[in-house]
Parts: sequence; structure tokens; C-alpha cells
Amino acid sequence: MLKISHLTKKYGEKVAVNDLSLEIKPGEIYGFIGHNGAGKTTTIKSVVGILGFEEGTIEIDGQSIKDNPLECKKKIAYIPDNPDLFDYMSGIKYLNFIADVFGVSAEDRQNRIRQYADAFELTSDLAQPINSYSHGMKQKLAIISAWIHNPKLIIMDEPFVGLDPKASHLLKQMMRELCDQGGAIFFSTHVLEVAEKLCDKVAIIKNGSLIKCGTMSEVKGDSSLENVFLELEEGKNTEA
Amino acid sequence: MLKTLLKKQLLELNKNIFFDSKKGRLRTKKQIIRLVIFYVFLFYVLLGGATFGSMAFGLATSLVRDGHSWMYFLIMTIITVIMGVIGSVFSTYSSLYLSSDNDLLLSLPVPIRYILYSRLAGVYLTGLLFASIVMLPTMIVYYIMTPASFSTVLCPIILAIDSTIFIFILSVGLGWIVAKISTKVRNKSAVTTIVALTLVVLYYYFYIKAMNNIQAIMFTLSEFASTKPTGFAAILYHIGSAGSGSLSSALYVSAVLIVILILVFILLDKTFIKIVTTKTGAAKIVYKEKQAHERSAFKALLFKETRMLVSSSTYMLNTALGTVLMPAAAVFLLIKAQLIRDVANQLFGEVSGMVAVMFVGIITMLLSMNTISTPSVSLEGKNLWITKTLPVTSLQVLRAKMFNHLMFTLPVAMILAIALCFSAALPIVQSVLILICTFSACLTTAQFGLFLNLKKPNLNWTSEVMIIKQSLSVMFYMFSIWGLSALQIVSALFLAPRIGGMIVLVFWTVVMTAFAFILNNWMKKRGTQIMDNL
Repeated sequence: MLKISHLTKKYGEKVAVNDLSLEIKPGEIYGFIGHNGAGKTTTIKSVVGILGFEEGTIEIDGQSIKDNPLECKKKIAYIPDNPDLFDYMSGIKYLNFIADVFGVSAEDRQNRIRQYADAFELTSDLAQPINSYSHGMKQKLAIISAWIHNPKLIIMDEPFVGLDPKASHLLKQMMRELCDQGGAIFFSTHVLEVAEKLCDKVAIIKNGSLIKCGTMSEVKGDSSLENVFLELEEGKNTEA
Repeated sequence: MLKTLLKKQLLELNKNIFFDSKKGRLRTKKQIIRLVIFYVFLFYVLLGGATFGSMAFGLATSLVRDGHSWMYFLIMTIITVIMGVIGSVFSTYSSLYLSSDNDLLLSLPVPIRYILYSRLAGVYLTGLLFASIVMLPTMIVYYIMTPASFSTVLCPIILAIDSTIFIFILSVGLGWIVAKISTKVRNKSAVTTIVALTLVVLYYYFYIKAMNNIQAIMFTLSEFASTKPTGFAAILYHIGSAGSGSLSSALYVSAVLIVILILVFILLDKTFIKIVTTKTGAAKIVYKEKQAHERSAFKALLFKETRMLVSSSTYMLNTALGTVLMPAAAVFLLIKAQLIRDVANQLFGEVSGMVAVMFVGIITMLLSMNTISTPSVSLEGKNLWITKTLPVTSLQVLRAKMFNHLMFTLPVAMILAIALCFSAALPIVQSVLILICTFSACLTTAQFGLFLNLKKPNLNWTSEVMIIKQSLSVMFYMFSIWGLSALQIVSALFLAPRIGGMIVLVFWTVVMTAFAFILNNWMKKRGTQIMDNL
């Protein structure tokens, strides 16, 4: 579903992501962890077409994001780390805008809006302008807008930040359901317990380079993900 | 602390000068000096000197030399105030009260007064920039034509400062009224727009009254100063005299303005924190499911642009004033059709096509009032990720911005063009050429705004007014279109009598159409590339 091969992204002289490769298959929830400034967001922004990159390839469902950006974008949805949405629209207008751009039929969008907005308890607020929403409400709206066109791959940057426990639980369920239906999820998080429980695979990035990836059992073995992560961070620091 | 806040405010206002957004780093001292010289040359030599300087020179030749310097200063001060009003009045409300760093600054151990003063400094500087473009050439021309003495050197400086204070008072006064009303109403955007437009109508009422008085005075100019003027005429006389060497008038005008300024400061000081922290408890609109309607991706993008425009009074008032002014001008022209016909025939009737070229210049001038597309890329700000991750091309995004500009500009510009042609009873060929020229000018201005914004985008801002009013791309747009309009009018006055009005009219039609095509091609290739890489 998503194949990143030898991705290198530089900001001027600084290498933000260095020769990173990983592959996400249909049905997988793939966690992406690393310290602040490790290169997670840069990698994610390169995948969704926000940032260009110097070397490597990114393929979504077999198509290159560089060569066929539109075809790739039709298949994905992205939720950024900070849900900056169109504040001048109401929630429902924003959802309809996204649905229009993705060509979602009136019936499908209505059903999905009903389903997800009810689940997130956001229905009664949909007519309100987004600038009156709390951070959590914006995050919920961003999640609904990501699910509205039934994407094959959802890429999320810190999706649980700002969500209340109930909404977090619901999001985890939705992630699993999407993967059960053949979709895939790639998301970054600092909450290692969530990653450990939710992810089928995990990748750990440090200073722009991938230092470990694989299935959850391969990465953590008998230990906890937190211990492995801290050991890897510590180990690399000692080496340095 | 105040110094730090002022520095921050200045940095935000002049971000493009200090920061190279392409390279993502601060400019070197040499680069900053080069840029400052370039902008000084552009604003004060090319625009101020060429347009307002030549206007001042023309007026001074007759008025100053004949001993009516006060009238010269009065007219130039009125133009200065108009420039300042265009520059800062509509943007004050949002720059004073709606900055997105309000919460952050209020949470810091900074005296509230300092936050207000640093923002007021920004308002004053914006007005000063616009006013100085007129006032500097006005003073220079006067100094050249008048023998130097203590009062003739000092008084123009005092009047220039007074003009900027007056603009400042008008701006913050309007901003305060709008803010007070906004804290009490629900539909802030609509109310702000209506209140601001009402105040503009009032402003123009006084402006027209002043101009009528000036016209009346002009007929009896030689006797006017000797007869003791009273009422409104006396105020006008004192304003003019304040610049022309009358120290008593200068002191009188300055004293009045300083008293008003102090009162305004006290008022703002007392109300600032309350206005900034008041959140109107609007009743919640409960969502009721309705039948959804599908739209194409392009229509959705266009809807987004329109929504962004109409939901912000700052955006609407500062970028779409032409949408109101052009139909108003059209109605005025139709009512005064006979008068227009007589004046046009009397002044320019001898050269066929001369009036038509003048009209093209007037339409271009009014098109400069609509800058909808110019800040539209920067206004995406932190939301840019949305369009960048959607399955739409950059060209579609840019076209939506252009269409949004055209939707609010093209119909009203065409109505104005038709009214001009009808009121002056122009021949059919000239009318058709004017309509083609207007159409091309609308396409050109819409794309030119996007061109400038793509060249100088600023996606990190704390107040939208910085992008809408105080950005270099917007100022460059307005000044360029004014320059183009001046060129068209000059060509009507000087070129048309020599080579024929029709040839000049055809020339401008071809030029405007060519501009539209060139910008369209640029947008398709380079424009989309820049947008992709933002």
C-alpha cells in the first residue's frame, strides 16, 4: 500500500531524513515513533505530498507520489499534528467541501457524516463555525473528514493528541476496522503504550535514520516497546 | 519590554525585508539595505514622485506662485488623508483587537498598555507610509518654489505630522467603534462591514462637502483670505494655512488634534483589555441534517475562496471596496449623464477617442480597489496543508482564487464601463473597445495579484491584516495599478491629441489583452510550480 524506498529529505544543508525505507501492506497498522525532531513529520509530509524530497521514491498503491500526485492523493487521507482547518467554515461545510473534492456521492457522504459525527458526538455542533471548536473537536472533525471518502491509506501525525478517552478508543476501533477491510494506517505517536497495543508493525526513527522496524514482536521481543525505545535511544547516544 | 514588543511588531510588518522566505533565513545587512533602497525608490520616487509629485508641481505652479499656498496644502492634505484612509482605516480593527497572538501576549507578564501601544505603532506606521507618499513630494515641491524662512520650513513638517495624526485618529476611532459593536453582536463580519461602510459614506459626505467648499472658494480665491472665513470654510482655511507658513494656524490645528489624540488614547487604554477578552456568547446553531448536494472539485474550491472572503470583514472591506464603489459610480454616471456628456465634449471633444482612453484609465484606477486575489495565497497560512493533500492541481487552486476575484470584480467593472460609454454617448466601436479593455484589465489584475503573492508569499502571520493590507504584494499591486492608470490618463492627455485617440485606445486594448495572456501562461507554468513548492 505504501512503499518508501531510500527517502532522503534535506532542509538546506541539514539532513532531516536519511535513506529511509519501509513498506506498509494492506491490513496493517504501522506505528512510527521517535524523539522530537527525529524526522517523523518530515517523512509523513513527504509521503502525503506536502514536501518534496531529494532522493528516493514513495509509492502509494504502486504509484509514485512524485509522478502521479493526484492519483495517490485520491487514495489517501492525512491528519496533521495540529488540526488547522478552515476556521471560516462550519463543520458541515468543511466536510462537504472535502467530500466534493473527493467526489463522494451525496448519499455516501450523508451516511458517513451521520455515522462518524454521531459516534464522536459532534453532530449537534456541525452547524457551528470551526473557529468556535475546541482543539479536540477540531481533531474529531479532521478524523471524520479523513474517513469521509473511504481512503485506502490513512496517514496521521500524532492523532490522539487532544482527544478525550472515549474518542481515542473510538479512533482505535475505526483504525482497526479500516485495516480489517483491506486498508492501511501509518501514524506517528509518542504514546508508546498505544503503539504497542494497536500496531501490527512499528518503525523507530532517530536523527533522520531508521534504526529499527518490523512486526511488534520482532521489535520488542519479550520487553516492552518503551524499554526497547529507551534502550535504542540510549544506545545510540552512547555510541555517539 | 515595550521596545521588544515594538521590535516584534515592526518585524511582522516588514517581514519580507528582513526575512528571505525562499531561502528560509534572515537577510544579511547588505541585502536589507539594498531592499530598503529599492522600496524607497519604488514608493517615493517612482510612485510618489511621478504621480503625486507631478500633481503637486502642477498645483503649486498656479497656487503657490499666485500666493495661495494654503489652498495648495489643503488640496494635498485632503489627498494625503484619502491615501492614509485607504491604507489603514479598514485594517485597524483586526490589527488592534484580533491578532492571533492575543492569548499568548496576555498570558505574559507584559503590561496590557504596552501590547496596545505596540499595535498602535503598527497602525500609525501603515498610515504614515501611505501618507508620506503624497506628503513628501508636496513638501519638496513647496520648498523648491518658496523662499526659505523659519515658518515656511517648519509649517509643512507640522502639517505633515498633523495629517498622519488625523489618519491615525480616524483609523483607531473606526476600529474602536467596530470593535465595540462586534462585542455585542453575533454576525461580526456582516455588522463590521455595514458599520465600516456607513462610516465611509459619512467620511465621503464630509469629503464631498469639503470639495464643494473648495470649489466655491476657488471662484473667489483672491478675496477669500482677506474676508474672515467662518464655519467649515474656516477649518479648511486653517488646515491649509498650517502648512503654508502660518504658525498660529499650525499650532491651532496641532492643538486640536493632540487633544483628540489624548482622548482617543484614554478611551483605547480603558477599553482595550475588555474588548480583547470579550467573547460574545452567541446562541448555538444546532445542526439539522439536510439533503447534501454534490459539487465539482473546482466549484468546491471556488466556494472555499468565496467563503473565506465573505466571512472576514477585514478581507472584504480591504480587498473588495471596488465591488461597492463601481456600481455606485455607474449609478452616479447614469444620473448625471447629461453633465458627463457636456464636460467630456467641452474638455476632450475635439480629439476622437480621447474620452474613451480617459475612461479606460478611470476604470483601471477603480480596479485597484479590488485586491481580492493578491493576499489569497498567503491567507491559506496554516491551512495550506489541506489543499496540498487534496487530489486537486495547483492550477485548479490558483484558478479558483482568480475566479473568486473575477466574480466580485468583472460584473461591476463591466457595468461601470457600460455606464461610462452610455453617459458620454460614445460611438459603438469605442464602446466595444472599452468593454474588451475592461474585460482584459479584470483578467490582468486578478492574475497580477496572484503573481505578486506567489512571488512574495507569507504563510506565517499572526494577524490577517498583515497579509491583506500591510503586505508588500498588496502595496505593490495597488501602486502598480495606480501607475498603469496614470499612464493611461497621461496617454489620453498627451498622446491622443498627437496620434489620435482611437490608436491609443486600440494600443491599450492590445496591451491589456497581452498582459492577460502573458500572466495566464506564467500562471500555468511557473505559478503552479511555485504553488507546488510552498
